[in-house]
Amino acid sequence: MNTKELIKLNNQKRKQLTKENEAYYDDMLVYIRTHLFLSERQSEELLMELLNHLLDAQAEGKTAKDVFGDDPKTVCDEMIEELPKEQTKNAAAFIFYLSCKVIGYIMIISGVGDLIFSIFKSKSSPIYIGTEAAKTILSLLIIFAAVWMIFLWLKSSVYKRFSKFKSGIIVGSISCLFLFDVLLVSRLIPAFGPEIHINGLFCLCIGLFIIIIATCFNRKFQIV
Amino acid sequence: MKLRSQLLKGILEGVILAIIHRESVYGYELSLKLQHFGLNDVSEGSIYPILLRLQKEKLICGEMKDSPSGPKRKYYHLTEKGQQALADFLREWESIQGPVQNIIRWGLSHEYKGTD
Repeated sequence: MNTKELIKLNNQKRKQLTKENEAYYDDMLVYIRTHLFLSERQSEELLMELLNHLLDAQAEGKTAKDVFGDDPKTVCDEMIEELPKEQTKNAAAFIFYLSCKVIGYIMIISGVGDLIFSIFKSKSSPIYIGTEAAKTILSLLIIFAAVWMIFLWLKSSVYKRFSKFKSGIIVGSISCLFLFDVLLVSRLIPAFGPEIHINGLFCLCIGLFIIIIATCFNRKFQIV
Repeated sequence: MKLRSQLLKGILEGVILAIIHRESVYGYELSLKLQHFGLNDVSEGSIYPILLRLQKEKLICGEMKDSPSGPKRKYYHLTEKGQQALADFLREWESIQGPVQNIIRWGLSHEYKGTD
């Protein structure tokens, strides 16, 4: 059974929990899954084990609190400390896959945009390879930083309710990151590198090609 | 408090190794066994950090297998290194258990003599 199937099975089995036990278990699940550096495989095996245990205990009339105690965070922290970390190889494959997807979609969108623009404008504007590369890398970094922040936020909100004010600050800074990316990055980076002209259709095709390659890559190696 | 919980952890590790030595079990079975022998104060959930640590140290090994009741369970069995660790634990335990009992007996009997 691979990790994907394990997650699917977990989703099905979780429905058998009572409302109270499900709330308790869901918190543990989110808390453990949002620890991004842990081996996904080992984490899911543990989550399945805990779920099976809880279902057995539930059948005998016990609650999640009876099984795991009043302080689930401490129990989870103890387990997280002992869980092995994700292998660098798997983490790198994951980041590579996500980067390909992001780049692919950006190219498709700008390709389509360019095609629509070309209806109104006869001459396409030139592209500077250096600028484009810098923009792409910066955008990827910003996307990963934002995802990272969202996970941190999720993780720490499981066993500690954030005030509206604090949540506002977090959402605000994530939005600022994206605004900075969209509005300022392209203006801040000067034009450098060789100048090329590509038309929208070409850009669109490359984007589609990257997405297809990334999807095949994922099928083969079961990354996501 | 800290020392007490450390001591309890070490002992729990030892008895878990002993149970798994006798037969391979999955998490829930293991917690039932502990309760069956009277360790009711140990919350069921606290076996999982210990199981993870024993796996990390390669003393036990988990394997997904079909259980008699149906769903796949992770059954644990002892590795060679685990056998060795169990033997070490037994030796340490025996070197502590006897003296501790004697000390307590001696200490308490002294106290009773004093109050009599």
